[in-house]
Amino acid sequence: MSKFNKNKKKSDGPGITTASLPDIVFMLLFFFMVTTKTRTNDLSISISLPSATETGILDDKTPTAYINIGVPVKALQELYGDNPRIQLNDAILNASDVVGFIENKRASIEKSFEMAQPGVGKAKASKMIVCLKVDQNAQLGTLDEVREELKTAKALKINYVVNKAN
Amino acid sequence: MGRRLAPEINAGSMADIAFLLLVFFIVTAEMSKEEGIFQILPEKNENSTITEPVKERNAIRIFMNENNDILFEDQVGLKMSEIPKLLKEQILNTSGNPNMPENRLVTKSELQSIIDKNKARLEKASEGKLKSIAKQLKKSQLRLKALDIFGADFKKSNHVISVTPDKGVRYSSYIKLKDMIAKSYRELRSELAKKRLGRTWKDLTLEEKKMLEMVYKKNVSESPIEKK
Repeated sequence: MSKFNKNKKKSDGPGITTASLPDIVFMLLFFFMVTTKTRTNDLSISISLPSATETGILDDKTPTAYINIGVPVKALQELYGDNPRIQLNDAILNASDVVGFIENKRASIEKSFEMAQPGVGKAKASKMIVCLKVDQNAQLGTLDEVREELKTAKALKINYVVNKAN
Repeated sequence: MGRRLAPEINAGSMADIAFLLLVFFIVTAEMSKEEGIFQILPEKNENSTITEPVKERNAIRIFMNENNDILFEDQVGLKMSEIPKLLKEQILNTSGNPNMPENRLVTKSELQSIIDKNKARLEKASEGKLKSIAKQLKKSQLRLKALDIFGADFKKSNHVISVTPDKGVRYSSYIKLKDMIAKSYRELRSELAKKRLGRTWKDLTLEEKKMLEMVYKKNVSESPIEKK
């Protein structure tokens, strides 16, 4: 009996050390921290993007401003109705607020680049691209209003965000 | 002798903490690469809509109504997928149809004169404008190079694609239409690349792609254009 027990202990071998597991996980963690940017605002509207084949990739060095257009989520429909609305930052607003939003965005981009390297803020802010995330069922009228406001704000570079189709 | 070594700190739970952080980042983050269709809006004209008048034959008109039906020039009942073929035919106008956009061969001397003009401007340019003029000069030189490579296929076309969608058009149809127009140009360019360079679009260098974009220059207008 004692002989049998001894044999069993031997085959067990040393336990696997889990000390390096945190290192691996931390590595993954850093990967995600570097390759992603934090979601800045929650959408109060639902957007399903249209798809297209002839698309370009927005390089992440260009400063961007996001304008979302879509139908308010169920919980907010009582307040905002069920027609497509415009969301800027966190709030559902009107087309007339777009100019102010763009100006604020420009100022904040200018400020953040100015801190990193004085003198480049203005140039960077003028390179800003406005990304439009529009629900595929929205009508063009709403988009037209926004585009007119963007012309007024002299934010002429725009990008329609779409899903890449093959 | 009686004292024992301090017990090792159990690092097993460290992984749990790191996992928690990891999950937090995965949930709150979005991948920064986004696909999109670019457009540069025309500047706002304070005094009504003054656009340069375009000859009727040069305007390729595409309308879209609220039922998402397409009117291409005078053809109705078209499918989206038919647009690239029709557009390519219009842009190339190989048969010289008088109702289709006019085009003419580009000559070496006219490109050379643009280069000379840019060179002269570069010498006199002030510090602030130096960069943009140098860029223009480079562009005009590249155009000359493109002429060497593409020869008789490098034509100057006066076409303007005029897209006028109704306010009630669905956004997805609008994007689809934009996509089809972009597709027509891309097909034209890649067909020429195959013919002259013997390579497909994705095997081309950046410079070659730029040159092809000069040969078939995209010209789309979304504001109503005036007849000449």
